[in-house]
Amino acid sequence: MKTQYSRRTSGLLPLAARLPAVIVVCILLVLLVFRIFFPSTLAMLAAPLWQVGTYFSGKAELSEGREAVEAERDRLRVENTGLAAENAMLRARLQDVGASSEIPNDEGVLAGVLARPPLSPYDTLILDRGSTEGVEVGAVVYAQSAPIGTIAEVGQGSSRALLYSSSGRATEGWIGEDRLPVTLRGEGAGAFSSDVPRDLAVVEGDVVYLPGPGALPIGTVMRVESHPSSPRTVLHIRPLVNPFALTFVRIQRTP
Amino acid sequence: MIRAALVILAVISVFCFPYPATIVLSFVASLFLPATGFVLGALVDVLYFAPGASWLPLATVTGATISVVAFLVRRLVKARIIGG
Repeated sequence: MKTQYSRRTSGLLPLAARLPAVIVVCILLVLLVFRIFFPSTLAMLAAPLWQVGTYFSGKAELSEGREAVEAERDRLRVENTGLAAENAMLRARLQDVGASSEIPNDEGVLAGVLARPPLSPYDTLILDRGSTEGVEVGAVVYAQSAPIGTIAEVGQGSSRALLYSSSGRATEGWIGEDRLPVTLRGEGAGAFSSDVPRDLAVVEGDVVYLPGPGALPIGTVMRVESHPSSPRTVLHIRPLVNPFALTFVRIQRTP
Repeated sequence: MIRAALVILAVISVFCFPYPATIVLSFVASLFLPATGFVLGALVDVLYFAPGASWLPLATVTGATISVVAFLVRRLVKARIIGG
């Protein structure tokens, strides 16, 4: 009599796939445990790799010949934009000097940026200062005196800042010298957009402000997009500070 | 050897390269080792996700999608080779 053997394997996965599945689950568990219980340790372990990335991206910028001249031109353009931004900021400060005696540049925790966009897909910054240095969730983060985001998560020796330009994030602000109230919508990579009524007198080059101690400039209107059939106008806003090039930021100390 | 090098490069890209490069590299690595995309997606979320950034962990979802697509591509290619 012939013996019948079943060819079905027991369990959900075939034997050959079980080991990789177990390895994947173990890796995910380790990552989860690190994220929940030791977020600072993970940032500390990753810091040398992030610094290597920063070093190589810095090296790539220093190419010779034509590339060097083009790079110099680009640098001067950026510098020019920065100076224009600083000029706009100083002008705004002068106007709002009576609004508050608080000046964000004079206080706070200076933090190094370990990782920034486009390394981070969420428009977040990984900072090398945490609860030990007095950083708290919700504290405003400044770069060159312009507010760029808030602290979203704090570890012992590191923290994560979520930029105002994070995709989908809504922030209340003002536009222009008349301080027209608008809702700024984050578009990622430092950019914003805003949807305003068409009859609102907004032109390209208008400065965009966030409320703070006075009005703090964060960008300028780059493009005004309107259609004759639409009662609304879409504003595309360029940031004053390039988040791709941030190396240091200042975190406001909460009282 | 190539498999290991691709996986290592994909892991390094999480720390050193812009995220579009990570997406491409994780897809290529997933063609050899399908779970790579999913694990790298989880790693990106562990490193960079902050509360309020998104209502779901986008990197993990993207990584899982990459793994599934790479797995299907791999099976298709294998079936073609065997089918002649």
